[in-house]
Parts: sequence; structure tokens; C-alpha cells
Amino acid sequence: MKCEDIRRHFSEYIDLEAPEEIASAIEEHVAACGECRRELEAFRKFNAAIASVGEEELPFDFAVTLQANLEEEKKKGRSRSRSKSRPWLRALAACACLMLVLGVFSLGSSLFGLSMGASAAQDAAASAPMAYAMNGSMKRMDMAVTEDAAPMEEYIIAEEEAPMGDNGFYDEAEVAEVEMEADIDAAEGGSLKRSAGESTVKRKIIKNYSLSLRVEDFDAAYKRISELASEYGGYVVSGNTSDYEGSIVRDGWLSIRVDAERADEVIDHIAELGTIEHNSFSSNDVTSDYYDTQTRLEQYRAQEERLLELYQRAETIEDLISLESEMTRVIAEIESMEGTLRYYDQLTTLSLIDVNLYTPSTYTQTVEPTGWAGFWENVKSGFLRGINNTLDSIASIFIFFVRILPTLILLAAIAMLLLFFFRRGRRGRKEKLPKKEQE
Amino acid sequence: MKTKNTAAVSSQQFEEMELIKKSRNGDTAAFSELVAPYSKRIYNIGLKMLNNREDAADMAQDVLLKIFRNLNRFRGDAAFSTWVYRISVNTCRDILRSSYRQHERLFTDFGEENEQPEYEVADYSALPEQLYEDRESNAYLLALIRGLTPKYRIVMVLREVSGLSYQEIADAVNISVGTVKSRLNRARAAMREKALADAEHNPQLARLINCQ
Ligand SMILES: [Zn+2]
Repeated sequence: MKCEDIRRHFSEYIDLEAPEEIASAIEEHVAACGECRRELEAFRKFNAAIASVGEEELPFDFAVTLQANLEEEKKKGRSRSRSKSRPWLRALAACACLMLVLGVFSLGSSLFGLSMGASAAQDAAASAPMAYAMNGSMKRMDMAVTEDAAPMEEYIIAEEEAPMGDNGFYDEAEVAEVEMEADIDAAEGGSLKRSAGESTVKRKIIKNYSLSLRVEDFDAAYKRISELASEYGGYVVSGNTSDYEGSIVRDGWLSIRVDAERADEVIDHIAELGTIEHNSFSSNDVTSDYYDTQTRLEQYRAQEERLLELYQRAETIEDLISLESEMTRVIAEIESMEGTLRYYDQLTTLSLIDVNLYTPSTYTQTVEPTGWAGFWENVKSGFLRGINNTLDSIASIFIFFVRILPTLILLAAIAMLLLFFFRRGRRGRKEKLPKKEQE
Repeated sequence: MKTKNTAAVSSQQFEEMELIKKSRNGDTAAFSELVAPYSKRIYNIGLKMLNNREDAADMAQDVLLKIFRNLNRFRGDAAFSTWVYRISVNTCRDILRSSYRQHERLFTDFGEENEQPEYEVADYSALPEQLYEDRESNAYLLALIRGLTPKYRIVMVLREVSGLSYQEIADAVNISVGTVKSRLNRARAAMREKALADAEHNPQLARLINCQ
């Protein structure tokens, strides 16, 4: 096997999930190929780093909140079970709702959408998820049609990763019920509260700059930038220069931190040292994270005090031990949060400026030849996409007419009924009128 | 040794079934005991899938309530843990979905197999570059995970943070084992590519991911 094919299986290999023949192929190859061996090592190390992110402790009030939620749920559950005693009523209500939604939807699309054809069908489909779910086998085709419509994206997900169910956990009806309940919860509680009033606090923004600087005198520029760091209340974070033996090529980079308020001035100074050929700026707003941590820190400090109080009043050894271990945990959390805040403070008060330095001879522009291959690839995919779109449009027009057909029939029936009664009513009046006159 | 092990597992399962029975009758203390081994894990899935602790805590509470509410429907023909992960994944997805709806942003669908994973947050340049302490490398790595689009992120989190097997991930996310494999592979490749690019200007990061 080629190195490329071997490396493609590294991911499953390090997870110990590769089939035996692949695992042994990798081991054989790696034993012989130094490059892949190093690559595997690096891959392993990278994933070890990712895994080291690890798990964080639960918020300290989590258990208490859960108990409260459960008690409330029990109360709610009782009233719910009462209504459950008449399941047919629930079913009937659900049916009625569905009919209503379907009716409104198709009425709407037939009233407003007839002349607009396929595009109206797309819009209607996007705005009526309920009707959508009802369409069963047609779903796939609709999906393709509405692919480009932004609001549809979420239903595509819903379809692809089907709701829990499908494999014997629940049956279909139950899934629907769970989802309905979830919706109700969302409507009631607003489980995701956005922290309000952020505008009153000082925003915490990390601002970083990155420059590419072409200079004539490499060493002088390097030295000057290092000096700028301390002149502007900061320091040199790290730097690196590479000297290739026997060559006049010089290049390197330097990262400095300077007072965030005066970073612009520093950049002006750096610009005087040569020519800035690339310049980028990025900012990261950590305000909510920052105050989040601060609030948590306060809560933990209060917790620490309470624990201390309890500790002084504790009587048994068991109590003392458990309080001690809880305190150790709380203190560790406090320290970690204090560290985080310090870290953010530092990042936000001192901006990072990354300077990539080089002498003119190293500056070469590379132009990548794309050639005809890329061109034909584009033409081919464009053509195929065109065919797909055409087919999708035809499908959507067809679906549209099928969908409004019941409505049309219904409307026609109503119209005929109205006409019938109208005529009868007129005839009736005509018959009555003469009678009155006779009397 | 082996027999002892299986005996331990089944007694644990037995205990779990006992707790489930009690919880069904509204015993909230039993329920707390039942979900205790999972709470932290659920919270941490939320922490990596969503963007802050508050949302993660809300999500975990939500998941536990759903479990409590639906315990009657747990038939025991699959592991309780599988069921718990499933509900966690679904709840995360719902939250992500509704928050994306609020922000009117495109949500990359969970489907398409042959597309490269894209980073929804393409700008990583504001990431901490000084990794002289563990905490900061942690922040960087967490941001790498959070930068993945949800469908890749979820398999990555279940694998690297929760330590689930491919089969368990497949059951939780309701995709095939093959899909789990390919998503993990792509997610890792994308994260590594990003990290390698960043490491070029950052020796500490380079050391962390070993590419010097
Ligand atoms: Zn090789």
C-alpha cells in the first residue's frame, strides 16, 4: 500500500478500531517506512493533546438544581397523567391541530402560489415543517429542491439524523410526543437565557495583529522591534531567526506584546522600518466568558465560606473528611478561575503583534498552475449541477400540483355547495313571496 | 479474573435496573443516584458542543429531566448509557438548531459525506498563542474542537472527551460505524491542519503537537 493509503487509516488505528488486516498492514508499513512512523507518532501525540482537554467538574449547584427540577417535574407529571387517562382526546386534539395547519398551509399556497409555480412550492415547504413531516416518501425530492433555501437547513438535519427512535428505543408515536413535549418546554422555559445588560460592563476584547515586513537591514529591524515592545509597556513573547549557511537570505519572526491602547502607534513605528507587505488584524470578544467566570468565582467564594463555617462546627471525623475534600475541590476551582481571569486580563490589556521579517531576496511569488484539469472539473460539475437542478424543478412542480390537488377539490366542492344553496335560497324566496302577496 | 469482571458488570446493571424501577415510581433520590455517573459526562458534552457553561448546565438539566420523564419508555433492550447519550446528542442538536435559527445563520447539515469539514469559525487567529501553561493550551485545543462544524464536533467530543467506542458513538448519533470512522478521520485532519498552520509561528504549540 502507498503511504497515503496507510495514513488514511491512522485515525481508526490509534482508536484501536481498525480491522485486523488494516492494523497489521499499518504495523508492517510503519516498521519499514520512517516517514510514516514519524507521522504516526505525531498523529498520536496530536490526539493525545486533544484528549487532554478532558472533563470539567459540574457546577456546584447542579445537584440542588436537579432536585428542584425533579420535584417540579413530579408535580407536573401528576397533572399530565390525569390528562393521559383519555388518550383518545389527545390524539383527537393532535389530529385537529394537524388538519388545521395542513389546511391553512395548502389554502395559503393555493391562493397565493398558483401563479408562482415551483418557487412558491419551495417557499411553502420551507415555512411549513409540519406539512413537511407528513409527506413521507416525497420528502427526499423536496429536500433536493429546497437545498439552497437557508431556512430549510434545519429540516435537512432533522431528516438525516433521525430523532431517537428507529431502533427500538421508542416507537414512532412516542417520538412525536417526546418532541412535542420538548417544544413545549422550550416555549415555556426559554432554557437558554442570554445574559442581558452586557452593554453596561467593560468589554473584554483580545486584539491581535499580524504583519509581514520586508526590510533591508534585518538585524537592525529585529532589534528595533524588540525595543518597541518594552517602550510600549510590553515584552517580547518569542522570536526566531534562521540563517542559512553561505546564503544572504535572512528571515525570521518576532512576537511582541504591547499596550493594547497604543498598538496602532507601534505598528506605525514598525512600518517605518521597511515595507509592510501583508497586514491582518483579528479581535476576539471574550466579554461574556470573562464575566461568566467572574460570577462563578464569586459563587465559589461564597461556597468556600459556607464550607469553612461548616468545618468549624463539624463534629464527626467523617464530616471533617468529606468537608475537607469538598474544600480542596472548591479551592482548586477558585484558583483555576482566578488564573483564567488573570490570563484574560493580560490578553486584553496587551495586544499581540506578530511580525514576519525578511530581506528582499527571500521574497518570491509563487503562482500555482491550475491548468485545464481544474477547468474541465469545473465545467463538469457545473453541468451536472445544472441537470440536477432541472430535474429538481420538474419534481417540485409535480409535487406542488399533487399537494394542492386535495385543496382544489375541496374548494370546488365548497363552491358547488354554496352555489347550490344560493340557488335554492333564491328559488325558495321566490316561492314564498307570492304567497305573502296572496294573503 | 475475567469471570469476576463480568459478574461486577452485571451486578452494576442489576443495580441500575433497581434504581430505574424506583425512579419510575417517582423516587427522586434513586434517580439522582442512577444518573450520577452520567451527569458530569452529559455536562461536558454540552460544554464542548455549546459555547458556555451556562448553556451546558441548562442542557444537562434538560437531558436529565427528559430521562426522568421518559423512564417508562426505556425498555432495557439496549444499555441505559446508550439511551442517555442518545438523548444528550438530540438535546444538543435541538439547542444548536434553535440558536442558529435565532441568529439566522446557516447550519451546515449533518449529512453530506463527501464534503470536507469546514470550520464555521474560520478565524482562529485570536486564539491564545502563548502556551506556557496547561490552561492555555487547553483553551486553544477546546477552541479547535469548537471550531468544527456540529456534525464533526459531536463525534469528536464523544470519542476524545467521553471516550466512547465507535459502536457507541454510532448508536448515540444514529449513524453507521463507517460514518463515525470517516467523520473522525476528517475532523482530526482538519484540526491538525489548522494546528500545524498555527504552530509555524508558535514553538510552544509546535512542541505540544510535536511537529518541530
Ligand atoms: Zn510510508
